[in-house]
Amino acid sequence: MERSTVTSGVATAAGRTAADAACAIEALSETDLARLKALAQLWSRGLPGGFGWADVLHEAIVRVLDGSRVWPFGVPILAFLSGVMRSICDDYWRRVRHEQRLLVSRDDQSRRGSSADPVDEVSDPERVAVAVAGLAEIFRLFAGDPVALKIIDGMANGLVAKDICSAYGISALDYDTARRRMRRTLLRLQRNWSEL
Amino acid sequence: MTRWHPRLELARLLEALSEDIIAATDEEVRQMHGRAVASTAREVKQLIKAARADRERGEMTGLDERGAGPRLAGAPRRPSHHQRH
Repeated sequence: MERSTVTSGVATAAGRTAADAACAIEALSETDLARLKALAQLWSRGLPGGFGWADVLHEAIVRVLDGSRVWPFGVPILAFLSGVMRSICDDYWRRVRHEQRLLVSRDDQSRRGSSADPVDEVSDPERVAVAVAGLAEIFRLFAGDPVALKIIDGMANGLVAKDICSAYGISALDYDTARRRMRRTLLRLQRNWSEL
Repeated sequence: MTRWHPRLELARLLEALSEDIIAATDEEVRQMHGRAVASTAREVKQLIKAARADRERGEMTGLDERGAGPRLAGAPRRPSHHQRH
């Protein structure tokens, strides 16, 4: 990709300008745009308040264009946008939880101090429940594919390909084939994850 | 017994799946979408265009809401209601 000659702002040591990012977004191919939608759907699954994939993607683009998110050197544009969307979704969950805590604290003055504290994620049962539901969604997505389920389990445990094959007794060929099936499933997923 | 960390597992899984989506070949994307790839691309392009217009409107009105919370796509940026706390 050519570097932009039109810049708004100056590239920092950490990353490129917003104009560079705008040019890269403009230059995305049809298939990249389809990947972008799939990524937005992945990150936004299960968000409350009617905040959907289009909202997450829209917000990500705005934040990149206004320079509040800087595109680091050496990071492909899709990976960067994916990270921005993930961060937006994390922020959104945090805001929802914070607002819920504020509502609860109105009825319980003793909680007023703790509502402003950083969220204790370990002891936040609601957040754990949301994560469990998220995991269940993903497992359900690959329910008919035993090899994919083993890979999913391995990835969730932070294992790399070689270790997954060895831990679950999967051949390298079966692993690669299953990963292709998984990619197709993810790309095919056009409907809302919550409908799974 | 090892303690279960669903949040950590979900984060790892989503990261890995997002990398899978990015790593999908053009051929795989086209196979999965068929002719719909063009309409999907158009849909996303429209969304990008709307986000760009939204950003430009913000610049014109002098609104710079860095740190403001996310809003529904196409919803106007509001200076006060959506401020992040």
